[in-house]
Amino acid sequence: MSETMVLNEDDVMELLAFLVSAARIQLDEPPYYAPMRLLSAAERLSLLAINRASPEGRQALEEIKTQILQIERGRRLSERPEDVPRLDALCRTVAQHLVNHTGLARRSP
Amino acid sequence: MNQPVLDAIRTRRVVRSLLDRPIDRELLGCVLDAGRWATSAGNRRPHRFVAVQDPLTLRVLRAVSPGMFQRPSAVILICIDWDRVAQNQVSRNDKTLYMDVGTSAQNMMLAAHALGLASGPVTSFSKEGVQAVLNLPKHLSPEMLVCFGHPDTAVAEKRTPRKLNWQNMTDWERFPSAPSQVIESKRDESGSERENP
Ligand SMILES: Cc1cc2nc3c(=O)[nH]c(=O)nc-3n(C[C@H](O)[C@H](O)[C@H](O)COP(=O)(O)O)c2cc1C
Repeated sequence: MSETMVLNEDDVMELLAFLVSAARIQLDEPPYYAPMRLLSAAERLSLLAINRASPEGRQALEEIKTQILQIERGRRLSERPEDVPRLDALCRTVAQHLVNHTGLARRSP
Repeated sequence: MNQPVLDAIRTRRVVRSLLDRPIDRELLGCVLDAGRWATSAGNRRPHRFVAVQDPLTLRVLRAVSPGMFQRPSAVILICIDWDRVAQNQVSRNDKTLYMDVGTSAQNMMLAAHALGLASGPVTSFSKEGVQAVLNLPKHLSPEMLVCFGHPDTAVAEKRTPRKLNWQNMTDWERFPSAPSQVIESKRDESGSERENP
């Protein structure tokens, strides 16, 4: 587990503002926009964190950002079946990074 | 034939990959002027424009605007001025108020395109958030943020190919009568029954 601080207070507030704004506008927008908003939040978080991340963390964040950008946003995921495996791959990348980064991989069962 | 207006209309696209470079105030003035010349229902012009170029304000504005994928160098917020609406004795539910937002925005984006600037409208933002960030007076409601910047031509924008064209968007003249109406009017011709008024 790393103790590196990658966000400052302004960054946190900025992301919070995005999240609550997204929750509000989602009430008026089509439901299929919701995954896009979450991905936008993930992208914004990666960008905020990337500069202060450890070399290993930065590499992971770069990869995550690239994968997010490959997913076409703004359209229904059901209309773009090729995005489903991309999202699965993104989830796998993040989970794998977490397993390695937290030291979970080195734990004996 | 040289058709600069048609060319601008046809080639304008929303561009979200922008350079981190400020826009000259004079250029932004030209864009605002184009917004001023848009058609407006009853020539009532119920709008106020709020132009923002300060980087920190833009950053905070972007935080409350989940639909703002770009990082613009300038934003023009189009507001409805409810004091003007009341002065003109226009109903608060009048849809033309919102149509006028669209005509102004489109003029601004076409002007920006003509000036070599990229643009894109954003309506996916928190109204309360924008009110707070810009300290808007109560009589102004934020309706559309129009983002501007210098296009980053090194980045290829993702475009979804569409099969839409004006031909498949358009019907000409009257719609044909539904079969039941045809029967009704035939009866009418025979004098037995009159067509519904
Ligand atoms: C009323 C309105 C609201 C829009 N809101 C957003 C928005 O919040 N975020 C965004 O990225 N684009 C927004 N757009 C831009 C559209 O996505 C864009 O015009 C459309 O995809 C067609 O692209 P084009 O203008 O390049 O032909 C909006 C457009 C309109 C007319």
